[in-house]
Amino acid sequence: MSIRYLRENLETRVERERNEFFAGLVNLDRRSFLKVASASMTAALGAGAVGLGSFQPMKIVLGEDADGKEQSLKIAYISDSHLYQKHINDRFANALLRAVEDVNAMEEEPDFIFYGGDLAQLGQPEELELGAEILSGLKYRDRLKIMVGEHDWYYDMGEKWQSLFGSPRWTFDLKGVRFVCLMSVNEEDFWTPAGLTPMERMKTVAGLDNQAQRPFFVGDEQIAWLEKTLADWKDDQPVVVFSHSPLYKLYKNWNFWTDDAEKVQAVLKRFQKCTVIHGHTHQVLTNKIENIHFHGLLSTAWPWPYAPKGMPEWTVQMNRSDPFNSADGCGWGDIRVSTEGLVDKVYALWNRKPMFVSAAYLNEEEGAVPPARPNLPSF
Amino acid sequence: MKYSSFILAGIVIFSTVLAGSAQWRNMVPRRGNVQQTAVRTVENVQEKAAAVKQDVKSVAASVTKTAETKNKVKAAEETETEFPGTNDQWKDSLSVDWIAKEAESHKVPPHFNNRSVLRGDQHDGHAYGRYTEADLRLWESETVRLVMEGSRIFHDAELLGSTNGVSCDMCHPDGANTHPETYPKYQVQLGRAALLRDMMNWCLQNPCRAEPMSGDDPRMRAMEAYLNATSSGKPMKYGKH
Repeated sequence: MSIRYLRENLETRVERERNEFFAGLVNLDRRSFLKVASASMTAALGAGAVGLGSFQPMKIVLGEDADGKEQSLKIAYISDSHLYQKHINDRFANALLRAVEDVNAMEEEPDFIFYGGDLAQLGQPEELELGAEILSGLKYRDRLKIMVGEHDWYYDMGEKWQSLFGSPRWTFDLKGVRFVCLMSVNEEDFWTPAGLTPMERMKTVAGLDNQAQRPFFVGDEQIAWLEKTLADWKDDQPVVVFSHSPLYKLYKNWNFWTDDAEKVQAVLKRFQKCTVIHGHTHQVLTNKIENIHFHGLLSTAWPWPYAPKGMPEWTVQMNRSDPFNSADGCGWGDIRVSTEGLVDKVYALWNRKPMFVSAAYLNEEEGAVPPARPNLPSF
Repeated sequence: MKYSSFILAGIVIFSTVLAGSAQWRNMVPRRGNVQQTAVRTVENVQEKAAAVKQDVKSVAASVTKTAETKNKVKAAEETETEFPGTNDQWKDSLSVDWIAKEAESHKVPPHFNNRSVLRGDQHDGHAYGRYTEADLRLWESETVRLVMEGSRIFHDAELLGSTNGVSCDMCHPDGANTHPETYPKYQVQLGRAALLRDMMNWCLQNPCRAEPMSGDDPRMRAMEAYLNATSSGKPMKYGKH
């Protein structure tokens, strides 16, 4: 008895049309190629097999100055690589190498490259040296600005990191934007009373859910420094602040938290265009407190789950990551400061479409496109 | 008479084979061979002792961490106790309160409050009327101990046998995103219906680059206990993706 398919199912049809398309490519001149291609594309779209705009490079309209010359600013970022020594773990080192290659392959030249902290996993000198070595492969390595993370710090209290990269807090102006980097991962001394060795201290801080450590803080002295640094900056001039921990209180158990965040926010509140960029959370994370915009950074090593409570309503969560693909949920990205001094943020997720979080979305401007929502919850 | 010698030889061979079979030897020690049986028993004991020694070594390699525990296993090796090593961490609680120490670092939802089973003399004469405060304390302390043992292993790359420094908590702080309440489920990437422990073993072999654990490995049992404890309060939904 022979079986006859009266109706073609979707998969079979898409498969057949694709095969026809590729078969049609043989010995075609340009004109007929376009004809076949457009016919096939239409068929595929009709079948719902290809989403409009998938695999299209993302075009972002940037502002222009009076002469029509683009004045926006583009920052490439890499963050949270958590490197072990080379002989222990090659996966994380490879991931950072991949990010470096991706940044080198960017079409537009970045104004500078920002590293968001946690270069090392256990603050070992060898780990930091390995990180410095890999980062030196950046095409624009002279434009690298680097922030410290708690994993870089708590083995020798930042000694090695500072010898490689200098002071953990810095500031500079570029194209009319003031950039300030804070050292936000200070913790109260819990190790001396407990009599911990440097490695025990490091491992305690390295455990995200380890409650034996203390919450992060910026510190009054540094807040005074921040205030002084911004003293000559007018309220309508743009400011971008970098900090490893988010400068707000999200989830204390995992130190997605800065204990004196309100004090820092009080200093930043007067600026109409103020953005805080933070590492540490390894995920697409968006927040807005009064007029301050907050953006997280992706990790190259692994994604963190979202905090079980207290998630900012501004965050469109990234898709749940596939444990069977070690690059999923990880990536790098870029930070674009428009002529208006506001930050549009791109999360270049490896293995996924990039996610774009615009300043217009955060400012609830009319017609602003919210970040694309994945079809599955983050779980 | 012609064939009797063959028959006799046949009987002799048969009985030799029978005597040589391990089953026969173990099941029916024959009369008159007391000395042989005694020798065999001694052999068996020696074999068992060697196996126990082997167990001690493998358990020591996987479970022990502190020098103190190692010493205990060494002592256990010398005395050749029946199940040495596996419970050493628990014996430690007699001298060091490691559970409190672990709980200080890693929070787990509280154990269920079973006070409702204390019903005074309402059920006099029945088992459920006889539970006391002491029973509740025992249930809780023993269960929490197993859970905290799991927490300890979950957070320690060395105990997991990880060869690249990666431990479970690095992707799953507080056991997040493990969802034990959704198993068993068809794990698309494994191509079969999986138990939580199958997924745990996948994680051990891949992100951690460790050896997989057998289902009754004390570490596996403890980690299952920990993950179930951390998902406390979530409704069981087997098969959920």
